[in-house]
Amino acid sequence: MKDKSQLEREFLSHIDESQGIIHKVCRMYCDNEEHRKDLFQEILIQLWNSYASFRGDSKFTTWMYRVALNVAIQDFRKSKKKRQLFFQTNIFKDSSNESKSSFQDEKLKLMHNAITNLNKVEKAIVMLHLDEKSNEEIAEIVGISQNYVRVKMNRIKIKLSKTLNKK
Amino acid sequence: MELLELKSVWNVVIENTISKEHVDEFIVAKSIKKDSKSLLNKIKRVMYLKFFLGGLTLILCATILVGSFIKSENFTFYPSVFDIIDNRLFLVTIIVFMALMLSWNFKAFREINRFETTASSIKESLSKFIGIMGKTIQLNIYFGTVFNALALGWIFYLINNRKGFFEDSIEVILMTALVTAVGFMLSFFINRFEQKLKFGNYLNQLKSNLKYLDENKKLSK
Repeated sequence: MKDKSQLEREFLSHIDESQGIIHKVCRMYCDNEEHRKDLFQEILIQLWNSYASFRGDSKFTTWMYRVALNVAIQDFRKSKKKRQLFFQTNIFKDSSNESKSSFQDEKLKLMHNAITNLNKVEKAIVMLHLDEKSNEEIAEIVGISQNYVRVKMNRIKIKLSKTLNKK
Repeated sequence: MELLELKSVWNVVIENTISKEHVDEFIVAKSIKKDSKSLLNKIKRVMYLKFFLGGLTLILCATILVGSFIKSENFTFYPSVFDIIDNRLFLVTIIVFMALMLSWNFKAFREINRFETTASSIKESLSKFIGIMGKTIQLNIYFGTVFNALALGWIFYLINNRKGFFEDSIEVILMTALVTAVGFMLSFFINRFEQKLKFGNYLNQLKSNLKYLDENKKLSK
């Protein structure tokens, strides 16, 4: 039996290696900086709360996706404060090439619009797909059959391309 | 813009975020010790308050009740209105109510804890979460309703008994029961409305997400 400090050290090193997953989930589900920080914190807490129950039956990243996506989907936010959309975070602004930067911004806007139209579960599926997870792993994380993952993904692709091609 | 392009934009955003916003171990260690702001944790915080206040009331009422059997003159309150039987009946009502409220809340509390420490798939977790939220809402509605109805009934009894309004006990019982029943119905609708206002949209959204995943059954048929 591991003691708490040993468990914590192990947990911290896992998070250090795989915290990209939390960033991805936060990017997908939050439309402002403050929300993103809150969700990041909340996911960390829930991961730690349920870490003792992680027995290694599945990959650590699969388990992490499950917890992080569950927290994001069940996230309860009453008031929508002034929105600062994530495409406004100036991530391309420091580029020396101005025109390239605005072109990227435009793409980012398009991506945000497309993602906004998806429901929370669709966001989870598309995020896992963008992260190149296999249908088997997506099915395991979402809790549906692989066949159904394919069906859902096709529908999401149609939905996304409708939004993307409108622009 | 096609899905492939979307993927490339997504990758740039993520790479940038990870490189700029990487959180070091020290901050993660501090973060995990903070209190969760999740809805379930808020519900748990209210439960702690219920455990404390309910437990205190239960112990106090049980002590007075036992005391009233040992030395009734020292443990009778409102002697101008309540006789010793009224006193005991009032205490028993509160004790039964608090005991039920505490035990149901404790069950819900344990269920929330179990839920928080396990990592299930999105579908399973959604289904469990909706179940827990449904039960918590029912618990809030029914215990709020019963509490208000009982309080109204006793207040009515107290006021009218002081005035000497009723001549015989059957009339007292009937009128008190009527007020309690009306209070129950009114309070039920108000509590239900309040809970719907608080969680209605949120729960409906979660249910529609679950329904979206439940189409699986239709597909497999």
